[in-house]
Amino acid sequence: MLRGRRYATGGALSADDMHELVDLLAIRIYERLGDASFRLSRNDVADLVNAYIDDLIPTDQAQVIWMTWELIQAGARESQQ
Amino acid sequence: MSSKYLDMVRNQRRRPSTFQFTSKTLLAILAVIAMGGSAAYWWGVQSQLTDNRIVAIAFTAILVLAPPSLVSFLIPWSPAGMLLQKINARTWGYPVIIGAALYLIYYSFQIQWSWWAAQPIVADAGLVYQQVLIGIIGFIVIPALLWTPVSSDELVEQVRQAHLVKRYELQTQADIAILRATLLRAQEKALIGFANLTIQERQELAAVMRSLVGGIDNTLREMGQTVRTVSGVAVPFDGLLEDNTEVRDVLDYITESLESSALGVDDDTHAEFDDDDDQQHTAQQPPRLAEPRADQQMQRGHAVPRRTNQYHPRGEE
Repeated sequence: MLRGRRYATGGALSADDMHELVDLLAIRIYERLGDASFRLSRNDVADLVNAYIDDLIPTDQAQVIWMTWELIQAGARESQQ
Repeated sequence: MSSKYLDMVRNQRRRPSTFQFTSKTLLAILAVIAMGGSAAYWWGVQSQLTDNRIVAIAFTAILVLAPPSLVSFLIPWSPAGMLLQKINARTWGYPVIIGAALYLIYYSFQIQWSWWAAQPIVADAGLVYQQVLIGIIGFIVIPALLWTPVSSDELVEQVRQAHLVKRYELQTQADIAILRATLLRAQEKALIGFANLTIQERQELAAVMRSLVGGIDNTLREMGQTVRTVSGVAVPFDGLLEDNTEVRDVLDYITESLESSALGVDDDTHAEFDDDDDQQHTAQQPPRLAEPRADQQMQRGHAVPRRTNQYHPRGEE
């Protein structure tokens, strides 16, 4: 599986598409939970987003969960500064 | 890469939470007032119908809460609400909701009509229907609009749909790129390996390639229509491949290459077959080219394997 910025092979999302999806998921979680989202564990994030990424290939699913959690943690750091 | 999420978190941090008065807030205030008025009105009516206060309270609660909540399922006013309605419409519960909502509206209409008709000033002025409609809107429609069920899950579903559409678009772009590469490779092979094909077979090959692209285009169009029917999201797949100039150019080039090379070897074919024309027709095996053109072999730099099933007139076999 090769992932380019705009194209990918093997049914994977492109890098741009992946970032956009992760961004949208993080926004929705933040809109729903507010600052409480900063305390979510990776498993919590997985539970919240799993239903919406079940059409992705397994590698992408795992990566989306990790990236969403990382982005939320980045948001937590931003909010503490 | 910029993140809208991080921008949103930064903005929230800079701007302490300030109350924003939006049209939705106004609608909420209006709905609360309307429901208070509805409670007062229905209590006035129901308490007249029975001396049992508990029954009157129960009926008042039903008439204040039930019509807006049921009607709210029938009047979605967001894409997510539309989606939810489409999903719910496939369940048995939905016709029940429609029936109950219509009966409650009818009941509300009848009672209000009777009540306003009994008011002398309104009845004399002929404003009974107008007053009843105002009551229906205020007691049922406005609270229903406020309650229209749009949960976060539905909103995320909207995002998921948008993401799916984006994926379809990107996938189609990738498909076009792959198709272009495939067609170019086919064009290369056509000049090397297909040199042994007959004229009709070459023309058929060109037609097959065109119909292949047309078939993919039709499939994409049908897929787009299905997505549009199911989710209401428009996918711009119409004429994506056939109208794509790059794909069209490649196809034209392949057809031209095939047919021109076919014409080139056409003379050789005739030269070879002219001698035994009658025998050629009696042979069961279709006529084949004896050898690919030598100049093609030199140009492409590939050695074309010698055919073992060359055409030989029956007498010579």
